[in-house]
Amino acid sequence: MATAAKALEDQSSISFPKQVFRLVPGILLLAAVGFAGKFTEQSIAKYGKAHHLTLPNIEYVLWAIVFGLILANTIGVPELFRAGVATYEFWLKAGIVLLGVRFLLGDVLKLGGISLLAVVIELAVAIAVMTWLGRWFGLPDKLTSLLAIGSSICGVSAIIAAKGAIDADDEEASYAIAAILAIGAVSLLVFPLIGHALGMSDHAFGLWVGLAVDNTAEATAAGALYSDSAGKIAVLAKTARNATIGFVVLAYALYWARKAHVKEVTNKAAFLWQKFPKFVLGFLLVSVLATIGLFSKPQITSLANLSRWAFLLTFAGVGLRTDLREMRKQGLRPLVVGTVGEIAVATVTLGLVYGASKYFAL
Amino acid sequence: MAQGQGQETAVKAAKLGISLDWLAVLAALIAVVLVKLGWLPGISW
Repeated sequence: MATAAKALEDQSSISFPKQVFRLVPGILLLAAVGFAGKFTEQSIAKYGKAHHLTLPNIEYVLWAIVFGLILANTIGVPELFRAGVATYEFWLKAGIVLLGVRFLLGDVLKLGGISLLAVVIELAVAIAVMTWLGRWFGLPDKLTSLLAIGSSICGVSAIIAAKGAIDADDEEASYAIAAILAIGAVSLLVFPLIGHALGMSDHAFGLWVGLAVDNTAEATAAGALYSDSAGKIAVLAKTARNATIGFVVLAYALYWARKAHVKEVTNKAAFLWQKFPKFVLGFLLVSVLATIGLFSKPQITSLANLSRWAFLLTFAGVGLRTDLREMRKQGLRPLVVGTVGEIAVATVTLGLVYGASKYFAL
Repeated sequence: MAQGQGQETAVKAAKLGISLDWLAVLAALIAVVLVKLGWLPGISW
């Protein structure tokens, strides 16, 4: 956990141009791994067509993640590439903003509204279950809070946002992050299998993944693994969930300020704005521009494709940062609490999605 | 491979994502403008 703890500290003493230059090798690695995934999917499809064979269509998403995973867990990612690989979250956010072009504002408001309604219930369930499980397993209170925040909103980002606010130590944050990452990696593969087994529609599956999978990158990948349309809905639902991050972190900050000697939040509005994910605003803006007809059809296609390229880098990053050996080394109790909690959240959100599908004709 | 490398990358990525939130929006909006002006036409997939 030492290296993760080190990464939690601020370490930007290098000049801006040097920082940007340091990113180049890793970004090229993301592009190479992602493109290898896309190339593999296309090559298999072409081979099947040429030889009149029915081969399983394994999406580029899975190939990119698998290639990244193999690379990271065999030869490892050399230091030179690590800073650039860490930009996958940046590409994810830029990709989400661009994806706004594929949504009309009416759809965003309808689906976003349904998602937000479901998010409120999901938040209550996730926080209640994680808190109860954490106490039952005798986890430290702040670790339990971090696990609850990570599983109810948006994984690693939420844990980092909350760490300072509740004054948790690096080790607690590292445990919570390790558990959330391990669960995210499993969710990525398990959710599409369950979705297919239940015969879920693209809309219903996308909504479910957006509500139940913790990290935005994994939720986007799991949705895209199911179908393009499911990926689109998963991003929207997950974005609605991410938008609540400030409120949940604020609630925990106030709770810990009352319970322990944690610094009181004085300006709540500023706190909410600071924690609010700004890319949500970019997504809404692009959706508004598309709704008022600012773009022609070829322009919409270009922007949607640009969003796919950005996601491709993200999926490669998910594979490259999934360290299987690290997952085996982490403490078992946080993982058990996280897993049991996630199963409860996935079950409840599945019920919510079925309810929403019935009443809102998803 | 150093212990905790994946986790370290995930933490860095999330921190970078949070601190560069506006930059991601800006980069996407620049792409939107370039496509709209026809300077970035016909991006295929």
